Amino acid sequence: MKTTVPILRAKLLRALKPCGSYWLDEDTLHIQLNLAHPGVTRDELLVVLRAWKEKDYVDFRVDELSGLTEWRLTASGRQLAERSSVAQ
Amino acid sequence: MTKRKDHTPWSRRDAALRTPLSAGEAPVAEASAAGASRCRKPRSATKRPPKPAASATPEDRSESEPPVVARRVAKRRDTIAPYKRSSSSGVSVAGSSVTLAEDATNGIDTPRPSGPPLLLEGTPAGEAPAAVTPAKLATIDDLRALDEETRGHIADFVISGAPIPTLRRMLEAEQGLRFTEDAPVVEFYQEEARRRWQNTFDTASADADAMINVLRHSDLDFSEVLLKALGQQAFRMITQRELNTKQVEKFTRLLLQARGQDVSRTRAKEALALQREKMERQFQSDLEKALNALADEIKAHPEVRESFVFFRAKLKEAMRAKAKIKKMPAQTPPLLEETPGA
Repeated sequence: MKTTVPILRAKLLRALKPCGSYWLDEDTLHIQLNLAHPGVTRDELLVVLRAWKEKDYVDFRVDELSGLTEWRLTASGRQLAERSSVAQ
Repeated sequence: MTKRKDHTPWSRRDAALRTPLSAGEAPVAEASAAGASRCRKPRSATKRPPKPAASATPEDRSESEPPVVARRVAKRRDTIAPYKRSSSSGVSVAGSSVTLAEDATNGIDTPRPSGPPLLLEGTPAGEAPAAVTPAKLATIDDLRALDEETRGHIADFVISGAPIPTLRRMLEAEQGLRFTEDAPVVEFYQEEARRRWQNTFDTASADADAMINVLRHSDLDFSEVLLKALGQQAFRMITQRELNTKQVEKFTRLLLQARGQDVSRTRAKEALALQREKMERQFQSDLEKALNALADEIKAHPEVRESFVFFRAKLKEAMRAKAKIKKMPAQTPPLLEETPGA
């Protein structure tokens, strides 16, 4: 069974929301999304993250020390997470 | 009289054995043997006991017809074998155990008097007895009802890479929870992992925010960039379990202490520089006063003019040398040690 995009978005919001304004590296995010079946591939994750970047829901940076790509929710992304948690 | 061997083919004998044994029927082995050796007199007519009556019980039949019953029991044993068979000739079916003693004479499994019979009368071969009730199994709710420490222990056990069957055995041995499938354990682990993840990140975010707020509202002046970097690093370390709440508090206290010492050291340096500047200014004013008085004296006594010119040249050299020393950063200015008249 493959993870559908809406489920993946919900998982992503649930993973990034508790981080608040702090950056979460992509590896940890990928591990978190694969804690439960069905798993998520890195490509599927990147597709959703890029789509959200275009909509300004998430922001990313490359950490200079670790060299990891890190993601976090923007203000509009946090509002989206709030709305989705209220809807649930 | 010499004994003749029975040359009946095994296929025919087996077919005869598979026919149902009804009450009053002649023994199948006997019948097949009679068909095979038509020329000789049947042994049963001379040696065998008389045929059992139609009302004979199954126990009586088993005593009187050992070869047939041995085949049938062996066949039933084969059908039961897939359920479970222990190494010590004990058979357990879905929670109930029945021990069998091997009969050395004819190979018949005869049940011990202490245990229940292996097969219930009327149970069709190949089916588990209906009278056996399965033992109570644990559910995922039993796992959810465990205390926090045990749940964390289970999650750590799975995270460490232990396979689920091993975890099931551990749960059965330590907690008395028996699972026949991996699915409930896996589902519980996923729930637990999500819950722990949420808790970890909530805690990390809250701790890092608290640390930043303590630093921001302290008397010491931290730049906002430094605070954000510190918060991010604390968040990362807490989520990776390299730092816990107590260590964050200690880290914050040490940081404040170091920063406070740094600020007090800076303030002491600034005060010393101010004091030095004030003393220089005072020294210059004293020097100017002395030079003016000396100029007045020279006007009154023209014979010491030559000495005065020589003294002024030496003073200029000394001032230039002092200015050079001031510009050198590594050396401390020896202004405080110098006397005004030097």
